[in-house]
Amino acid sequence: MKNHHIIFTRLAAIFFIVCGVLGGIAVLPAFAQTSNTNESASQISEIKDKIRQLFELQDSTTIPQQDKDTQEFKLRRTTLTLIVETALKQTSAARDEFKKVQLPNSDDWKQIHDSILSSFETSLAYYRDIEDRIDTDSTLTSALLKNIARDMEQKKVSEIDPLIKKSHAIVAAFNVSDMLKIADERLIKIKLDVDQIYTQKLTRSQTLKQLFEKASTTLNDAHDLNTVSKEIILNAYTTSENGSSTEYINTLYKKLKFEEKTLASSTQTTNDISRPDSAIIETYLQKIITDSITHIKSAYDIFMKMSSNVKAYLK
Amino acid sequence: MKLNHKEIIEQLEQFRRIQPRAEFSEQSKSLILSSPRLSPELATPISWVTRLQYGMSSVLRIGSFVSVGLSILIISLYATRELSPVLFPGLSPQSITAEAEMLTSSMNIELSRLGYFDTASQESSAALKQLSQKQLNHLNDTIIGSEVTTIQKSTQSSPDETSQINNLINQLSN
Repeated sequence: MKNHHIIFTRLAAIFFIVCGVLGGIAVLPAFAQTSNTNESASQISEIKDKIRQLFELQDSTTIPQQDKDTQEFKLRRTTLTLIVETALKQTSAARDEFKKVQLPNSDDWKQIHDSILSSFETSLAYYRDIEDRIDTDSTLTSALLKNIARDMEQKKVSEIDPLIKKSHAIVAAFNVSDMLKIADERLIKIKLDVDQIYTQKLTRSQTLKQLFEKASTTLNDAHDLNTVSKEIILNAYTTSENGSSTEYINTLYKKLKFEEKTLASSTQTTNDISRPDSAIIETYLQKIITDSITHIKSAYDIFMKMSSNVKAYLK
Repeated sequence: MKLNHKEIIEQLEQFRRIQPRAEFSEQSKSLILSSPRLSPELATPISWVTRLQYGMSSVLRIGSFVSVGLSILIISLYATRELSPVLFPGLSPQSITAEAEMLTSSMNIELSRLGYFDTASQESSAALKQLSQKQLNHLNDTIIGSEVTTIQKSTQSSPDETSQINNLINQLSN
């Protein structure tokens, strides 16, 4: 008997340890994402601090000019190194997230996938080259560091940041698709329960039915938004010469510009509303991805209301 | 060796005369008398205390059966309501809550990824501009701005101090 008790205790301990480890692994991605964001925020803060130190050094009238020049060079080099490290981590993280996405098995999507991955590798190589140069080039001066910073800022704003935003949009759109699969399965299960309740005449109230209709409509809207977001991605991000894609994007652009002008005239704003095409479309894409996520959240709020509603019928 | 009938009878007569030793008899008797009684009814007559104890144990037995029966009834009534997750699994609050929590975590990751990157990329681009552009040593808006903030902090009393002072004035004026 004593031996059985010991064996049972050990098995129970092993069971709880395994559950704890599996539970930890399950929530790890959420924590990893949070720690990436926190690390990036602290690096940005450190960069700002270094720049402030640089300006304070330049503002100083007590430090001899020669010492000032030496310290300025060191500060510039340190700050630029920090910026390159931060940019490398951001780009690398975005590339890794993009690699995990399962895109549809079609030529168009494969072309977008290969093009974005290739651009990521080029961007990472660019940042590594700068990092090596700052580290090893003994002929660098403050003026050369300024040039490197200028070139990097232009390349980042015009090419690398838009690339990362595209990859984020693709990752988000396909992750929303996965969330919608879970929500759809829940809706099907709930429909079975709702049908059962009304068949068994457990209630005469139509509230449950109305809530179900509302949840169903909300999820349909989320699906529509998700479908449109993927259409925009497919047409806007293609690199091939495609007449239909160009036409799609032009039509969308005109529609968005018209809506923007209508809104601008109705609010009597004098802001300049002419922006590059891609910015309007990117902003719209982000908006509809965010809206699709909001719709899924609303659907689950309705599910919870329905669940509370059902308990009353069984009293 | 074969025995005849007469010899067998003689041997059986001998076996009849076998007896235990006196001390063995005494020892066995005391052992039997000191062992617990298995059947009280066959022992000495039952006392009123014992009858009371028997009565109470019967009441307890009946009471426990009734309690178990009532508990089963109450549990089944409660469980019928609480078993709605089993009867209506799609609308199980536990399942919906667990799914919603899992999806909320994923949604928040997506939203923060979409939103945070804009801010972070603007900050680092601004830093690169500041590193690359020619700056005047003293007419630098970053330095001047931080000095203005320092001056404002040193000349303003905190809201808490202001309200404390107001409270003291009120007390003095009453």
